[in-house]
Amino acid sequence: MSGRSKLLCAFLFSLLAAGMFIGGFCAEAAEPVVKIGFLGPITGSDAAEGAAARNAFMLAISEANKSGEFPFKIEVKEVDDQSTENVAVAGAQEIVSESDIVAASGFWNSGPAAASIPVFKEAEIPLLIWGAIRESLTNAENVPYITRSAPTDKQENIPLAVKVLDEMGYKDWFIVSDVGSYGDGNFNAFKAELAARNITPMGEERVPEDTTDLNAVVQKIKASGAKAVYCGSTVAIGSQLKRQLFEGGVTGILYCGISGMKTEDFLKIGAESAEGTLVVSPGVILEDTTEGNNFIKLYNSQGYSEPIGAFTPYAYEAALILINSLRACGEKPTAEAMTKAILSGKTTGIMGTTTFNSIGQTENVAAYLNVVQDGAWIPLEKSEYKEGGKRAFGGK
Amino acid sequence: MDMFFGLAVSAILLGCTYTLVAIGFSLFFGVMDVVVFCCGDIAIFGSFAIMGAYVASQSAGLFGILPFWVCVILLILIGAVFCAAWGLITHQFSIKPFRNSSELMPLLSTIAMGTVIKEVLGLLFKPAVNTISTAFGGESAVTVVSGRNPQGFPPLLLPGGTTNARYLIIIAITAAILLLLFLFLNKTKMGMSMQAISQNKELSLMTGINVSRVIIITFLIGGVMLAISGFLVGSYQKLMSFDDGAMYGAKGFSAAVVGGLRNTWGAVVGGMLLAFVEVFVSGYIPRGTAYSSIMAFVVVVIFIVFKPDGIIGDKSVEKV
Amino acid sequence: MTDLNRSPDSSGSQVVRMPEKILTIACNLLVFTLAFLMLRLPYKFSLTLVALVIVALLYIERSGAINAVFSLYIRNKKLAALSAIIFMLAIPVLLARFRYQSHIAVMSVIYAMVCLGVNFQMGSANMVNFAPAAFMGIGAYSMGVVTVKLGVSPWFGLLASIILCAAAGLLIGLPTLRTKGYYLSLVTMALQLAFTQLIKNIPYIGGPNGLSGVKALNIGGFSLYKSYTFFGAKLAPHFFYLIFCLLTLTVLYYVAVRVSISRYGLALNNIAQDEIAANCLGVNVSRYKLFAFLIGAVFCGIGGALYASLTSFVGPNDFTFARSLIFICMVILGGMDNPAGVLVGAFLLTVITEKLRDFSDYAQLIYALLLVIILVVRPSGLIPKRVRNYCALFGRELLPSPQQQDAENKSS
Repeated sequence: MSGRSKLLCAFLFSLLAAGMFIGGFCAEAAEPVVKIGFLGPITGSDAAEGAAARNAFMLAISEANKSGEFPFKIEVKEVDDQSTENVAVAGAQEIVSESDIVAASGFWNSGPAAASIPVFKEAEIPLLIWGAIRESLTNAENVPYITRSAPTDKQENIPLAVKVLDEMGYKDWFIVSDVGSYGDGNFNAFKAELAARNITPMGEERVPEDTTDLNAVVQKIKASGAKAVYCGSTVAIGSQLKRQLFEGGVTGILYCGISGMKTEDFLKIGAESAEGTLVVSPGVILEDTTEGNNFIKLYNSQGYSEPIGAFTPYAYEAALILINSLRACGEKPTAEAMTKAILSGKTTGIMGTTTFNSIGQTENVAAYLNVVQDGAWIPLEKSEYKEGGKRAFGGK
Repeated sequence: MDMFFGLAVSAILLGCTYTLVAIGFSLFFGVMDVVVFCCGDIAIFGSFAIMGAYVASQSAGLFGILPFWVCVILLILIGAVFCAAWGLITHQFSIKPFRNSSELMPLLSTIAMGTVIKEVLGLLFKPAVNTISTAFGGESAVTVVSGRNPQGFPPLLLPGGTTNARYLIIIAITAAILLLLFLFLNKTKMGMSMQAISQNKELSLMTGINVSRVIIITFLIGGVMLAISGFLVGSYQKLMSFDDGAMYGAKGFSAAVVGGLRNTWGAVVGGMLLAFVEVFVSGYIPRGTAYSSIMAFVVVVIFIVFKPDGIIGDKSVEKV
Repeated sequence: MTDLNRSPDSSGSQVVRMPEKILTIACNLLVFTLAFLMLRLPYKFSLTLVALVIVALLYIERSGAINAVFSLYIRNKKLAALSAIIFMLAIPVLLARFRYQSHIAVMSVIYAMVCLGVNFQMGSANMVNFAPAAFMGIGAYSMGVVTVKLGVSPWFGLLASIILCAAAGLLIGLPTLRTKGYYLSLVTMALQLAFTQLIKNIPYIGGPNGLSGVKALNIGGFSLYKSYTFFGAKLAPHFFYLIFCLLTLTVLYYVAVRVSISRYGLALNNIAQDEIAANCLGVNVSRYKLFAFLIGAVFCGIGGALYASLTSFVGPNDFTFARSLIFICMVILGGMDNPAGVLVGAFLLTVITEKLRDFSDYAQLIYALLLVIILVVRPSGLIPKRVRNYCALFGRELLPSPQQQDAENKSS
């Protein structure tokens, strides 16, 4: 054995020894706690929604810990899914491998949710979805492990359809969505609503998610003579389409859409361009209820840099549901007991009373409409666009 | 007919944005024989720089002192400085080290550099957003979480004017720049040197052209071009995202290849062709928008396979 | 003459042979212990270890010691392979109770398969293929369609993945016959970008929603991905899956090494160096280029199928351009045209990504900077490609040994 290889050997072994040494130090100490998992897009393209939801979720848990009601400490294992499927799956594995985990809540994006659900089912850990709206996530096969406190895309589109189709009576529709999962769900949901009323859209268009130039779609809408445009997409497409419609001179129409557009970013296209956009939001108007107002006050008093988003109250509500289920499980909650407690539980939180139906979907479906008026989002009922108000939507 | 006209205008506008990025590719490729893949990202960085400078100058009251158009030109120059700086950084760290290695090395390293530029942009705008969005939005006190959210671009082109006039200005500026570039390349000594290097590097070295100086100048000119294209893209889109650059990069490179790398006019033709394909597929095929960019890429693949020299590229002869 | 023959293997006295065997086993033990520790330790320690390993690799490469290691392995190749397989199979056993770590291990094994595939094109033939994620996607979707839509055994899914990926590799390889360099890269880039868009527009395979309920591979009703209880201890569901993936990777690695030392590997290197010269030498350039794409696509497809079968979900967002860049990054980090290096690159980058979860806002920036730094400082990667040592590899000697020479002299 030459000197060099001896040296090499010595070096490698010292490395190995160092590794073992470090390894010896990391034995994990167990604490008497109950753990709950939280998943959401805390970084990445949907960070604003995910981080706000995380804040609200943690807030509810820390309130519960402060109250001294439980004989154990509730700890949250927080995992970032980055809106990406493979990251979410690894994160789900990380959560279910925690030792004292009894339940998890997660997902704003439907793709990561769909990818991670098998992990939770296999590990028999209950997952309460707080923000992903694809309808197929809750189904008979996923019960009892998968439940959802947020509305599905179908449930979210119904109030909008009732308003614009039944009450306002628009008949000439052009529907646009992105080709992504969110757009696909909304597209099909709204199209089904139209079909139920025997309306065939005058045109339909699906755009890739990274499209910024929608002038061709605008020209199509112009040529079709539609009186109302539905956009089932997020703010990126929704705001660009509205702006380009405005600049293309297509102003005398109704422009409506889904909660994904109801963000402050939408208003960046300018007050004039954004004016009159009608959007449905899930949940209740928080300002109108005492619980809602308390939540807003509590949230804002924490000094978070992320404002309350459309699904932030749902994350808070999900935490309340889990806390309520922990109450039902007594001193030593297990995942099995939690699964039953969540599904059969009845929780009254900031958005009303939540119960789950046989496939684990919430029966508490509330939604309200918002409109952009002078560069701000205002609930329809409080705006000048309400029935008999000063302003009216186009296309009538 | 009305629709055709509308679509054609959209296509030309989109083509303008592609063209300017594609010219960046052509210029760099001509002088250095490498594909600088981060052109799109540099352009987007330029437009974000203009955005930031706009806020700064507004708060400094610059717009009250100087005439509006002077301010706009100053802002574009600031953007150009940033773009040129990124160009030089790219040259220094991801092109120069690979002079003697395989041609794919600079391609990979400039893609990586593009990601660096993009991510720096995403991180940079994190703390500053609050002031920016309130400054020119003016509608409400907006809190934006991160630079990864879409950003509004200031209305620097014809504020308050009608849309069509703005579109005309975008087209006019692009045409003017093309003209200036053409004059520069064909009428000045520096431009001639660039062309000479593009045609034969060894020979131009022999005739006494300072190649490294020309490369630096090319990056400066390319930087200005990219800043202007970033400015036009911003004025056209009005809402920008930090990661738009990758798409512009891919489309710009495609346009340059379709038109013929090394050829400035090829970039124009290629950019317009791609834009027309995209817009008309989107406009005339029912539910075609979903397939518009796929079609654009199909066109690219067809061109590369059957006419790799591009529409008006010179026949390349392989040197052994 | 004597100089040439003084290479260690021909000096072969038993005294030196014995510790050499121990040394080989020790090296393998070290490699797999390090891998295990990186998986198992919390992120601070794990990343420190990763950094140490990278520094160590750079050091032993610079000092030339890596040649000693490689020739050690080559000389004792049977022992090295055997002990490596044994140690490798110890990892799933050690990780049996830790499902998260097992998951990372499976993912790194799957990525390693894809990277081996990329290596055929990028490493050996210098054709940068920007579409490995698309190939992986084809494999994953074949698996998904076969098990979800057609409802047949996942083994048929694996078969379908291989066949479809081979076909796709040929199809995408065809344009490469007419193009090279940037143009080839742009073709693959365009195909990758178009692939993601196209998948979202096909309702049959779930469009943007993907396919759920892909079946895990099973052997006679015995599912490979399932949590079993052994002697009262609940094993991670990945246990058997990880073993299966490791064995598959071993087979693929063997294939990759055999290709690399065969005339196929030589021909691909020849094309990478100079296509025209290769042509002049009588290398059938088209055939070898197609071969590189075909076999690369099959490797990516197997990786994709195993991935789909693991997560039981296939969606379009897992197979994007960004993903392709990560694979390319792994290959460059590990060492182009060196299968062992590729494995190291894939493993290290997977571990780094997982352990840096909390800093994912910076992940892209870190990747990009890492890529630029590697390309500038060390374009050949952590474990660069080696000169093929055929003599040692096949136990033959280039020149007759002194004894033989003596014998010849005597006879003549």
